[in-house]
Amino acid sequence: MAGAVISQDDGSLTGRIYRFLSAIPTWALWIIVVLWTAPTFSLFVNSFRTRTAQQATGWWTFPNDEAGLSLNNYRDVISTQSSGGLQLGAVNSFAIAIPATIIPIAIAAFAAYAFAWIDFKGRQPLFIATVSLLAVPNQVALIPLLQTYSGGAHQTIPWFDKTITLIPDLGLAGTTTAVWITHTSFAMPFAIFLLHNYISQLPGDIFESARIDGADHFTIFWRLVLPLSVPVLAAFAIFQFLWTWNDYLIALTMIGANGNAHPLTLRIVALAGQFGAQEHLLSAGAFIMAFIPLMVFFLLQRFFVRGLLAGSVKG
Amino acid sequence: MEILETLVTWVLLIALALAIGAAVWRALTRIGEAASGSSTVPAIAGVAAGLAAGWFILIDQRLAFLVTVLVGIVIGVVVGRLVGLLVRVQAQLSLVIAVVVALAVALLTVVALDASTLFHFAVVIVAAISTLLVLGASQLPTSIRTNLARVAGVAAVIGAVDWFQAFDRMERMLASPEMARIAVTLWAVVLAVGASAALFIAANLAVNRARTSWAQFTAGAGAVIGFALFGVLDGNRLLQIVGPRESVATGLHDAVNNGPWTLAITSVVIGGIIGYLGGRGYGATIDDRVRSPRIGLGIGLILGLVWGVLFATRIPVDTTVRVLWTAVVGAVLVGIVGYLIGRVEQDRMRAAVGAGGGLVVGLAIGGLLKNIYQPRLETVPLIAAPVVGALVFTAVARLLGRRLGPGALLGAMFGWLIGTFGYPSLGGGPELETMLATGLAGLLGGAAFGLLPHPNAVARTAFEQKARAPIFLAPALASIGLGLVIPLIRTFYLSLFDSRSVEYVGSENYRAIFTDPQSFDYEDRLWLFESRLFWLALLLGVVALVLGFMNGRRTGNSFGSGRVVRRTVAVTLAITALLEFALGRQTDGISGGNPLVIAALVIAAVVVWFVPIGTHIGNAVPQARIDFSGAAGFLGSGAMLLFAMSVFSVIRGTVFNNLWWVFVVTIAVTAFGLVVAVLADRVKNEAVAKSFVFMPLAISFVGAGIIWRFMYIARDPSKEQTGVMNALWVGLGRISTEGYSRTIGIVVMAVLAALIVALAIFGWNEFRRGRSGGGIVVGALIVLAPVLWVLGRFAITDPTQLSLWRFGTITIGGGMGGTGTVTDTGVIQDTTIFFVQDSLPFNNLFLMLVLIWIQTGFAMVIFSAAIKAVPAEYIEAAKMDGANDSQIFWRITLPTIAPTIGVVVTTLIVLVMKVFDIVRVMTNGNFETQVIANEMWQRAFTELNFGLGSALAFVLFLAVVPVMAYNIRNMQREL
Repeated sequence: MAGAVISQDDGSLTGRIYRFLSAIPTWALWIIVVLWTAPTFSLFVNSFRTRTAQQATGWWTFPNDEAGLSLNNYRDVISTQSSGGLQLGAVNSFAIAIPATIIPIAIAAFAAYAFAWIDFKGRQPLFIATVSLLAVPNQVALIPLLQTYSGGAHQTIPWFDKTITLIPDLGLAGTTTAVWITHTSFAMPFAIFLLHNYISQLPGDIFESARIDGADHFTIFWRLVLPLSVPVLAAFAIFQFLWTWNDYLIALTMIGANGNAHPLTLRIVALAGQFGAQEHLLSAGAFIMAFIPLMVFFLLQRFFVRGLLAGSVKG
Repeated sequence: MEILETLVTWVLLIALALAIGAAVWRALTRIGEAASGSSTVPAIAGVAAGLAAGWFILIDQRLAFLVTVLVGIVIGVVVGRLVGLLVRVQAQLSLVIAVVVALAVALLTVVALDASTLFHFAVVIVAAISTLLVLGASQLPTSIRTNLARVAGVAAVIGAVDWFQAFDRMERMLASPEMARIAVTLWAVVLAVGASAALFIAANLAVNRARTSWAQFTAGAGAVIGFALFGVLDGNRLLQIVGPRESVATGLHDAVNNGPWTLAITSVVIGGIIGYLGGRGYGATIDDRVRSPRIGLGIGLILGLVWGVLFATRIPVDTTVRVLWTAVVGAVLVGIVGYLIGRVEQDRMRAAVGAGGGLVVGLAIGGLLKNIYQPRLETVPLIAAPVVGALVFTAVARLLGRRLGPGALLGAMFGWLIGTFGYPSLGGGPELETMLATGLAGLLGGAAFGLLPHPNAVARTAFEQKARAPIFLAPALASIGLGLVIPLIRTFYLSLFDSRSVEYVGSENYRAIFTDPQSFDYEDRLWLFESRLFWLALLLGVVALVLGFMNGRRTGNSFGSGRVVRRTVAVTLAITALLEFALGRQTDGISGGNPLVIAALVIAAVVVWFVPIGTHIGNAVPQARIDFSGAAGFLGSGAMLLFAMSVFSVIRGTVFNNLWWVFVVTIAVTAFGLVVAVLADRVKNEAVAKSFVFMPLAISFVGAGIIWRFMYIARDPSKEQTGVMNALWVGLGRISTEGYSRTIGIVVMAVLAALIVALAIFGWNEFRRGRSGGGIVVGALIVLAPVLWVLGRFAITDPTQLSLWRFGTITIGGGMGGTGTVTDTGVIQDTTIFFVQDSLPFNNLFLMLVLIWIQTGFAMVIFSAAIKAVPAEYIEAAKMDGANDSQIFWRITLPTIAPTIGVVVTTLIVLVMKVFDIVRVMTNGNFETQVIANEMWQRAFTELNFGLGSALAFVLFLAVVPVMAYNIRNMQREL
């Protein structure tokens, strides 16, 4: 960022100093990269070290470990019941993340199409109202939702003194179903926003000609919009999957004490809570939890980035 | 390990099924390039496929099945060829016959024989007949043959996958609780997606029909209404199965296990959807080749999924038809009435049909009602309510300009319902009176619909147009409404009540939050003036201002004169005055609320508001020859950050902690993200560098909390440190206090300082020669300060000699890092930091670091794209005019990406405001690190104080309302 007026191929002292200074940003970048990766890397290394090694020395001394590196921690954390049953946790995480990814996509795509291409009264205000809910903190809905899941929703009609049941008690509290239903609602504003951004940019000419050929909105949606929107649907799917897989708050609230339905995040926190005996397994457990998001991330980074950008950068 | 193996097998198997399904469908779609197609025929074929898939589960002898399928296909090919040569079958007819025969045989085998051994016959028949028709009946249209090929393919795939099922391992696996959970989950997904897709498609199809064939539409609508009405009124038998159980999921599982019919119906529905989608793939108007394979792929995926689920649940033959029969009867009954109303064109006749049909439906419902719902009728409301209802509805109809007759009848019906069921006590009434109540209501409702005019083509088209948007929007809006908006309102409602939501307490909960000393702790606020951070911020701020003003003189664009800046400063001053006033009065003993201070602040605020003060100061400072805008910007932001941190370090509490989080994390992430994006721009291996910075975004907050817990570990000082941070800290302490390493440190630092001074002198010379060395001078001097500071910490080790430099509790010159204490025996003992526990008040900062670490990648990616989107012409033009890199960044890049910065900042504010996971996992709000979200969770879900919890949640909501308003304004501008 120093003065650019000085010519770079100048052999003089000035030129050399300039070259030295102008290389600083690149060094700084790589230093930042190392700093940013180090915490994850340290967890990774520690997950292969023995209990005694982890407790006695820092991870950076791992070449000196007498016991060497092994997969024992992974084996132990998966197989022993004292770790809280990670395999069931993984299954539960999938049981939450898969429905919570697929269902919002289906629902939001309809709405995004309607907001983008169907003319109706009050379209713009409704769209803005929907998308503005994006900023609403999830906490604000937790208490009523949990009450509904655990007891249904009932309303006593004034004057007639009769209570009608709006939503029956489905016994959802403490299940993974409650979690993904909640995720579905919370994801909706963002999903509509993201899909709308993309779908509204699709070329209108195609739809126009399809309409002239006698296609109705339904046909256009199925035959044209959905196939053309695959990239943004993928982007949202990745987002939502990471989100729900990594979620802690909603699972904690909706599942509570029912250990059989705990996803990995809750399992790992429970593991972290028992100081002492199990602590050496924590790094392996945390890495197992992070494994799937990291895979998704590295393999599908392009979609992920595209999704991020679709929501924020214009032109 | 066993369970892991089985899990892997399972996953592989499903993946295999999906892959095969997708591949086959894709291939078949390619084979059958269709010219045109109707959606009804493939729908039927899909139903057949669904039936086959649904029943297929009962097959036991897999190998035998596979052989049978293969043999069947071979025979089918041969026979089909012969048939094709001999007979010319009419295409549609042959298909219908084939499907009917297949279904009939399959059904007969179900009913007549032990199903478990015979279902492969159904599949074989479907596969064989389909193959036969595909290959044999060459005169069939291509589209039909394609779909038949699909059916055959599906049957073959099912056979192939079933063969894998023979492995013993699978059998054991299916019994484990994990597998049961997977199966139930997949079922739930399939059911939810299938049911909503079915509803959505049905609604759309019904509306399509509305334009062309009104009676079909009314029949369909009637069927749906009847299904729902009868289903609900019949005591919700479906829920009776589901309800008492532990959860819907397990209930569903049981329902599925106990009822082949449930399964069959689901399969048929799903099959129908699949077939429909498949048929829809062949449009005459649009490029088929692009779409069809994708649709085929999607269908294959769904089929694979269905199949994966299906073979996880073995079904004993049992009957649960009872669950649905009333609903089906209702659907048929109301559907017929609807059809008649839609069909009959003569007005009077239609009214009569409506009334009669309504009466029948009403009587049927009356018969269904359980004893507990039967009313004891009372005369007065029975007469009064319908009259009132009719009058009200007539008035409304009049106001809306609608027809009065149907309105009056509908009103009478609602009135009648209120009079019969709303007012009197329910239960134990005579059955005849119940029949009267429901029968008359049905009569009135039916007549109301019967009186509606028969719509002409224009009206029907208008109806179709109007109905479309609600159909598309309904699922999403319902989800948002039920899951977000209504709970939001309810939360506000609950926040006005006490902890058990019984007694109304008004704003008591909110008052409790804002008067709690835990929320606002400003006892230490005078410590601000002893804070080194504060003075450092002040110093940096002054330097930044001077540089800014000098720059402003040069460019004629003094930033202090800008209205926005001035008014922001003025408002800040005014708020400070207000705080001083308010807090000073509440806490006696502390010399706050000084009237002089308040007066000075108010005057300053007024002056800054009205006088373009920056211009005046700018005129007083010398004109700069070089561009300092970058330095001023950097220093100014740094000063702001430090200042805020110093303020937040003396004013504490839950609410302030939250604000601190928002402020620090938002600014730090935005700044870091911008810096990394700029640094990485056009560097070799840019993508690699960025993806590593980006990576933490994929890790959960919980995972990040654990990662940083390992970073922050502090052990007994006499032992080796295992946490990176403390190892560095202690290591630094040793280097700076022990023997020769300390000497080396001093030498290195001194040499470094000398070099920097030399660099500054060099820059100054360059600058005087009219070359651009000014930046080097400023940069060198900024770097020099910390180097000198480090040198001081190394060189001067006796704190007592330098009591002048005392700020707070730490003394300059005592070495660096964990300097430690010297014991009596002369051994130096290290000291460690408990980062998140007791390094008050900066433990909050170490928690924030975790979030900064996670989110920087997010800001970086977005800024990086925005920077690349800056038009190259701007930069070219600036370069032509002689702008350097720094000027290009501050004057062109930054203003161009300003909207993006706005988006990132608002996103971050919203995200950080509700920070929860990190605090809960790392400290759970202890050690004065409480934030609102965690406080809310503890109050609401551990103490079960719903009133206070709701109030806290609502405060969180109110805090983001400004962001919402900002977003809404932006959107209104864009749309």
